[in-house]
Amino acid sequence: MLDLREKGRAKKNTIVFVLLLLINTVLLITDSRSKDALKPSEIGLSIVSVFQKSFTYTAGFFSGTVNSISELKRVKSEYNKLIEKIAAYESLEKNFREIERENGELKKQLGFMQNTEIEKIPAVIIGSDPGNIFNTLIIDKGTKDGIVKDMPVVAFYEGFQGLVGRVVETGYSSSKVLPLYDKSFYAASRLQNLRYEGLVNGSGNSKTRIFMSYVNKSGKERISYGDIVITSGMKSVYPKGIYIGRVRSISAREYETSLQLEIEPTVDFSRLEYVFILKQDKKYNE
Amino acid sequence: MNKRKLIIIILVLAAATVIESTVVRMYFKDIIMPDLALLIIIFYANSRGAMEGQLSGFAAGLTEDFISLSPLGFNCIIKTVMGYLLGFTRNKVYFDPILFPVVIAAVATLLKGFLAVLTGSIFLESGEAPLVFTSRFAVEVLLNSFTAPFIFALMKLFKLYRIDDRGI
Repeated sequence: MLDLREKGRAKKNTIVFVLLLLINTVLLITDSRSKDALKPSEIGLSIVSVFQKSFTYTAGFFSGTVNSISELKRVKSEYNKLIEKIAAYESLEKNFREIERENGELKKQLGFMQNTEIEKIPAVIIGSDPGNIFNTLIIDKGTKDGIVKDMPVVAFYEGFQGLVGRVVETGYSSSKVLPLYDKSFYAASRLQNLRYEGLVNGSGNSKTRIFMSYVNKSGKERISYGDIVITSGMKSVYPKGIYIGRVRSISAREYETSLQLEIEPTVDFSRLEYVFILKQDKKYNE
Repeated sequence: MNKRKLIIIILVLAAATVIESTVVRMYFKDIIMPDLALLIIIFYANSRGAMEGQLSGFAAGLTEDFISLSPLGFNCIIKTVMGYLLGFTRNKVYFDPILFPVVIAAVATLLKGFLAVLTGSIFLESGEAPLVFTSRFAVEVLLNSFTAPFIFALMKLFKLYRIDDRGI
């Protein structure tokens, strides 16, 4: 009698197991094939991100409160310094306005177009991949804020606008970002001064450096440590001129026709909290 | 099967995944983390059997897929299979406070890695299949083994597993 009950339970377990496997298989197949349809993962991302936001903001609130006293002292001394700086900048601003007006007049006379300013949407990183296999950053802006797939993501770090990655999936109020250190990340790039072009690719780990491949071998003697790498904008989702990083080493194998450069990213991902999504016109790079 | 306890464990697993992706990673950026959800599944499947193991694995994997860059179903299928298989240890393997949690966490993490490679090679294009067996994975095996005794002790403390089939 007990044996029969055990057998029945085992049978039930197996049926449920097969059913769950079937559901998983359908999910996996649907995820890789249906590009335009509304994906279940997008709905899921929107739901789970609500909890991610609450955890991130709550933790941020507590740590912010604890640090607020020392922060206040620091802010006060910075405030005094800034007041002094403002006075100096006020006189500079007057000169700047005059130069700007003069520049505009000269541009008009030369028939130049005004610079295209790309709209930036600020966002906060609210989470990252819970596992150690994939690399994801989750931001608190989604389709309701005008975010669409493939928008470039940048961050300002030590005065530079550095590349962070690109949006790969959007939910209603949050999106997933593929960081530039991911193995599947590619960006058309070039050396800022020497103008050699190449392809930047992640290494799969935020702690290690990224690589710039297919750089012309003639640059072997000219490229040096510290050279800046930027996006080239060549038929790419990334506008040209965004900082990617600095050259840290050059490797040239005898049998290869190109160089591979090791790049240290401009953005320090271990300290990254705020990013900007570039709401660029797709025609911008064409 | 006690549905109320199953729902609670599913919520605990979902919370563990979300906390790991937000608060834990906010303070320990760039540090390899133990797979808390996996450790909870190991303990729960061993205590409650294959049915609860696979259902909780399914829920934990699905939550992870929603917030990860992995294809939907990737972590879900891995954790469902793990919950199912680990459920067979019920009434066969009994946990001592330290040694067995360490061993089973290491074995389960290796199995997870193997299933990730297998799932990646079946369902993903060759360029998109993740690299699993790296130095980071070795660290994760060690971390999971080290964390397992603490998580299991915590689970015992909350007595989430100690309900029989009549719900008592």
